[in-house]
Amino acid sequence: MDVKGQKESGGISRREFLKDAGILAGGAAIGSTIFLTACDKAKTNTETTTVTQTKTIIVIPPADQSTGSISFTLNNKAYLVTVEPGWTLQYLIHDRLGITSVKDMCFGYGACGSCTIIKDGLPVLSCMLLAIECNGAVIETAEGIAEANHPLIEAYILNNCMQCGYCTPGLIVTAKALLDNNPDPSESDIMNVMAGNICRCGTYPQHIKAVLEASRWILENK
Amino acid sequence: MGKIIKDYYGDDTTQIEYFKEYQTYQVPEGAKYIGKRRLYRKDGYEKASGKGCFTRDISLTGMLYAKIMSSPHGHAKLLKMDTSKAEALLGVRYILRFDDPELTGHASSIIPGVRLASHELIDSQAQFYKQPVACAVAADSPDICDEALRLIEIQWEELPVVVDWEKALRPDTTILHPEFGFSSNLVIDYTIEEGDVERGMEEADQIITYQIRTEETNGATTEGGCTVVQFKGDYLEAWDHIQDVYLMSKMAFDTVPLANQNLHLPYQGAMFGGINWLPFSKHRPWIAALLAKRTGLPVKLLWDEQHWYASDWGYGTTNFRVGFKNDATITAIDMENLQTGGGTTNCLDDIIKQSSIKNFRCRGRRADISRGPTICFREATYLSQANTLLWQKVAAALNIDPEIVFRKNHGANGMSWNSVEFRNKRSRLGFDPEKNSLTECLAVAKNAIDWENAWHAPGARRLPNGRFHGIGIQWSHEWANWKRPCLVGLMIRSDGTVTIDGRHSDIGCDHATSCCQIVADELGVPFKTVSLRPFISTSGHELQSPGGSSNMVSNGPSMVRVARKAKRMLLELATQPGGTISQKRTYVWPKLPPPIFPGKTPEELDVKDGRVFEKANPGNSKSVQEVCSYYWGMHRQAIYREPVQIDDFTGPINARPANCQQIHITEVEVDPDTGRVIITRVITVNDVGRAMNPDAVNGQQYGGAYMGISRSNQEEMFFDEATGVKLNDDLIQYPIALMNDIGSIDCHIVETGLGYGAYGACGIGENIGTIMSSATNAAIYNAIGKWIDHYPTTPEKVLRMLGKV
Repeated sequence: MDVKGQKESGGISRREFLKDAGILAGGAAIGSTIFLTACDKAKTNTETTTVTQTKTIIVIPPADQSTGSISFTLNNKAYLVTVEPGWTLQYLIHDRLGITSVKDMCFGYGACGSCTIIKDGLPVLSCMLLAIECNGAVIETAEGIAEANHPLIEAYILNNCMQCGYCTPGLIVTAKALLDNNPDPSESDIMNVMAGNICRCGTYPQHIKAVLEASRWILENK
Repeated sequence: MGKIIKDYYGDDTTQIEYFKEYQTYQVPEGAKYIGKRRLYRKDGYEKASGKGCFTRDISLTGMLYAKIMSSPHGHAKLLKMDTSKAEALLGVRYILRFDDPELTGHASSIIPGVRLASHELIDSQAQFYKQPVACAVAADSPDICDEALRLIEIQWEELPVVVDWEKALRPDTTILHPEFGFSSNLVIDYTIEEGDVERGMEEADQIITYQIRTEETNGATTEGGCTVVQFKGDYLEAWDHIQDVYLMSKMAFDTVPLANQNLHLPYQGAMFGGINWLPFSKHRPWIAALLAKRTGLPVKLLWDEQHWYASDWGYGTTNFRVGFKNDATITAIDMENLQTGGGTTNCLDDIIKQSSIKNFRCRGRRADISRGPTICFREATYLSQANTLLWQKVAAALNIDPEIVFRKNHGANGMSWNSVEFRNKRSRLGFDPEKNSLTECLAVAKNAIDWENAWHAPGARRLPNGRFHGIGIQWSHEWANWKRPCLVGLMIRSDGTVTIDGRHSDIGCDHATSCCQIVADELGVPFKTVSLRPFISTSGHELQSPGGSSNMVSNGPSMVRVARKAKRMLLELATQPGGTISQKRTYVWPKLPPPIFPGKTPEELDVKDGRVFEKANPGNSKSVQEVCSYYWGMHRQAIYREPVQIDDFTGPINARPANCQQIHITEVEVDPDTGRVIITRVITVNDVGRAMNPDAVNGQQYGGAYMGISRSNQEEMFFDEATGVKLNDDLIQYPIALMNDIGSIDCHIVETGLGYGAYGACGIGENIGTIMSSATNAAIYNAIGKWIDHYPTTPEKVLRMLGKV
């Protein structure tokens, strides 16, 4: 990776790092193909055992970098905020807007999934996105999912899917994104899509049950 | 030499009386909530909706962020520090230096037995990589803190490092601290013994020796260290990510009177134990408070590295010499621990409290090395991978089913389980002497996997896919100790709802739900009307904290007692004259409004489904709300307090017999070409005495299974031996288990009632995280006929044992 765009104070800028890594736009590259594959399987109703990791490019409108202001929709509410260039979307949402479900378990490594949000219909790692790149985005977090009374919430509670609860919102967001695109996932679909969310308490077996329960409710009440 | 075995069933009559009382507790007839599944857990909606608040989520008006510098070196001394460039950075509000007068002279120890354990609040000498050193910066944002720390120029004198504990004790090794006159790196070396080990070895038909080495693992917990502090005049308000609030208040804020402190314990992210012990857990609030005082603003101190620089204390090397008869009776154990458990001998506890073995010797040694402090992390020492392989090693030597070894040696404190002596002791406490937890757990476990057909000779079963099949079984006891004080209050409010008042660190074991279940059934009110919010207590009530470990042993009996006391007082109230103040005004003293149940005695009444009723005439009933509002009006609440019950938990070896047992089975496939170990199935069987909340019990089972297998199969901290730098202290390079790493986990609950808590309950969760490790290792042995006596059991090690590397 070439080092470009040196900051005045030295060192690579976060923008340039993310751009060079090819995960700037959308921030969904690493997991998105696995996710979309799981959704595609729903359409074809076939099992696949191989997964490839390729970049998915999503075009977004340019931000107004001269003023640092961006507008976006978060949990069905419109926001117009002024952001610093170096702010990640996770920092903006959690620290500045007080939507605290979006955690930072791995401290910005993009390793844990606790910062997962749904952006324009896809689950993305908000710690890997710069806020200023999210102008015009439609964003959903666990709070919005709960406000909408999505059946996942009840299913998660009754299936005891949480222990300490720190990772729970990220898992729910990932699950919701899956069900939005594949209302009838198989167990392996669920495991593949949610394998990017870390739970140190080890609640994993219950998430599969909860997602299947929510899926059944959605299909029965369509 | 210290005496090991203490007659816990005879030495302390106070405890005996408590236990006998608890054994009389029966689940109320017609209980609707105790033992039930799919209850709406009390923290469920908060956590599912993302509204659950953790310390890292706290945000206050005008709040600054703060970070402490982490040492870039494994061992170094600070010679010179220049903070001028950082001070000039826009957004930096304060830099607290290590030599600040309010910081120095407050050294506190890490854990006992560790030399040079004392560290200043912010040290000028680093003894391990990422030790908090040099300074702390308070600024407008975390990014500015990071930038400021980068701008601080420090001249370090790098010092020698030693990271391997075995190498640390070699004659030719570097001495880490010659400046103190130490001539070796040895910190602890003591031996305890019980019985006559050499005689036991002479009586043995066979003696085996083996060594097990366990590499360092890490908690890798989810929520990084954090403290938020603000001052309101002379009053301090704080939030902390910590297990024990008294440590936070006493150790950290001792310049602020306790009465002036308002301390919150938000939900705790992945708090698995021991973080409390670290001086930096105690120092973090102090540093945050100093910064808050100096800046006049609230401060959120973030310590991202906290759970990476400390690790679990289960790593080390253990040498075993075990003597046994051909009938599997173990006649003597001779152990030598190096490093593991902090070099202690406490690991013997868990052999003593579940076996009849009489002759022990354990030498515990610990060396100074350039690693961070260690903590118990879901109890990795006492039940370390090494100890719990003992039974399987003997079984393998005799070529018998391990169950024979378990049964032959089952007991406690040198007594056989079915001996007259032990049966009488259990009876004295009110336990049913006929019950045998090991028998019940074994039956459930073996039946679940059709053990008789699944188990085979080592290396004897190769599958059509080319892999070797293996199955391993492990035995240990349930976590029943660490009973601690519990001071709980219960308020029945005038609207009929019930509040359990007792602050404690909620670490996610769903402790609040379990307590509400007990209170609801004992008091006779609907579960949904009972709440327990653990975050703060203005009335001084504190439950055993954290709400994990064996909290049902401590908090469970207190919940029963306070609910029963509250019920008695409610029924007494309902039969007394009285009424609200406004009602009383219509009467001329000494006349008072009549009782709400006139002419009745408390014994004639009961409470069920939130209604107080006359037993002989159930139609004569009033809701709890009606009773309370009749007497209290709008603004009164009744508080029923349960006093502290303190365990006498003393002595270096705490070997209270563990009556409840656990059995775990792991089934694997080992690929002989890649060395990969695939966990295909796990069976966990835990006797919890009485399951208040079976869903929560299962959670501890599969959660512990994931953690234990992950730690033993794939987790390891790597160090650069030359510099002492940790090479994989992040969640990308430190691979903890994910959703698709382990096959099915079948959880089974056994309820013998043999626990020390209310209704015969005991704890769960602590040691599963460790036991699973040795079940997996035993399974690998069964698969390939070779022991991997070096954790983690990575593919490379498997291939080496197969002679392929």
